[in-house]
Amino acid sequence: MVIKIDRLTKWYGNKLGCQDICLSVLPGEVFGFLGHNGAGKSTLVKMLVGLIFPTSGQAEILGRPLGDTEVKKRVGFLPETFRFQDWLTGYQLLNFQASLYKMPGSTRRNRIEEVLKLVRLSGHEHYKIRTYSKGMQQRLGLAAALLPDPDLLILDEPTSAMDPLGRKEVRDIILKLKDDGKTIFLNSHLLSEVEVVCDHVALIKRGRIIASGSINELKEGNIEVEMKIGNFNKVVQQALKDTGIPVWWEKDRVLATVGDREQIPFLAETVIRNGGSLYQLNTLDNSLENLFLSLMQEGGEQN
Amino acid sequence: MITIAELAFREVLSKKIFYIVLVLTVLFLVVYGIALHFTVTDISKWADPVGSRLTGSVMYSQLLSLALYFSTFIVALMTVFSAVGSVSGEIESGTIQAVITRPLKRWEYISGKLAGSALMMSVYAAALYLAVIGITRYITGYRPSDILPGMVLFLIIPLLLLALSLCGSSLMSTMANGITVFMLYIIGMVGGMVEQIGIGINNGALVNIGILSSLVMPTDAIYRKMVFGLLTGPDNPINTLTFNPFSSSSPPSDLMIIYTIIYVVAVILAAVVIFNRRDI
Repeated sequence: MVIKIDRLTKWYGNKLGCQDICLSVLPGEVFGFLGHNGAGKSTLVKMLVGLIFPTSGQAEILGRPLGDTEVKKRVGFLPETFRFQDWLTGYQLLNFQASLYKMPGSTRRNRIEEVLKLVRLSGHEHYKIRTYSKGMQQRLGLAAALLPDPDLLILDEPTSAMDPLGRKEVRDIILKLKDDGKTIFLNSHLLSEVEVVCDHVALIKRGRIIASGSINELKEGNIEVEMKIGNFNKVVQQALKDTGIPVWWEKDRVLATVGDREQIPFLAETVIRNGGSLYQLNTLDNSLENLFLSLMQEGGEQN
Repeated sequence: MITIAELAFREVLSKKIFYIVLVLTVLFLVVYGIALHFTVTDISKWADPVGSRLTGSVMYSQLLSLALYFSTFIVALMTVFSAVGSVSGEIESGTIQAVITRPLKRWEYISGKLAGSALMMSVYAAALYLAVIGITRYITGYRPSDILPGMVLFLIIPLLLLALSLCGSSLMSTMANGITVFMLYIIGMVGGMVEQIGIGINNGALVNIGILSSLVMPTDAIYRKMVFGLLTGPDNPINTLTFNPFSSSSPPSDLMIIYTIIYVVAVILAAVVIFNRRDI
């Protein structure tokens, strides 16, 4: 077990950061931790890397309790917005980071060159970091996290501040690391990213995990239904809510997640019986995005 | 720890303000040198050689105490400004996140910051101190006593302020810390002046205010101890007879030095303890 978290809870005064988080990450797994901004994702990651201290509960990383300095040598961490001493050059920063990892001088130079190549920054390392684009800075952060050839890589929103091209570049690097068998804990609010790279996901809302499992497990058994409804008034909306089926809408486009095919005609009947004009009804490919929206809504109602 | 100290040191060297401060320091020394030059020229014109030697000795010691007082002030200001954000600034900007999550204990981070800044400030303060003494001696021929012990005391002042700024920096925001440490320094300074006036007019209440303020912030007491050693030694018996707010006619005891050292150590330990428990 690379990460084992048992009922980890964090309160900031009287404000909840996250509560009773339990999860485990196996070797070689890419684990996605999904949630809206402010849901408590970063709180968990910050506890794992020792930036903040849990109020209660415990966790182990690579078999050792949180805060163990020896374990930190085997963990690479990329903070949400990687900030650095921008008066250094890329190479100087990596050299500084290598000394923090207590890497011996003999292997340091080669390793720095390797990670620079991996994040495609070779040739830029002797420029000041303040001249780098956001994407380059983030890749440099990734290079710093990869310096010790870590057994576990913790990435907190690695692509959040980036343009689509930058996102793709970072995503490709993560996929490559996945192929190399690295264990990665990925915090993200970007579903597409998680869907592409992760084996397992946990969804967090208001500080609590509301669902977790492999992506296939989570998708299983749910069918997305898309409807175009005319005269979509409050009566129809209330009737749909009363069915107990998770439903959400945007203007006249209505999406519902049903657990069973038999619920589809029931949905249509509910719309028509309450005066709605059903122009269109399709079942959709079950994307994680819809599942995410549905789970987030359900989780909200339970809370 | 050495890695952090080295980076803290290099960071100062990378800033333009560091070079501006160096130029301004040289300017301060030049102005002081010019003032001494004209004082010497003026006094040497006197016909009475005994009177001119006596007045010269008083004048030079007064000018030297003035220069040392403002040198202390410059060093204090530099120390506070450079150290108030050493931890909080990194927390505010987020650079600390990619540092203390590495295999580094939190006390190593604090000690590294302290060591880097202490080295930088000590070199600067020692250079300024020796330059002021050297210029005085070269232009006026005036020889203060106890130069090396004086330098040690002069270096304690930035070290104390550094420890205090670092401790505040691990607890408060940069702005709040800067204001707090500087206000404390001012309290020490004003208290010291009040104490000197109290001694001058023989007022016990004023002296007690001074003593109390130096317990809160011992910088001024250390300054008085230093300046007394420099200007009131066996070579300079006249100085005790003249009143000078920048000088000292009644120095704090050696106990004050021990108190200050304990103070510095306690503040450093507090910084470590506070930072060890702090959520970032």
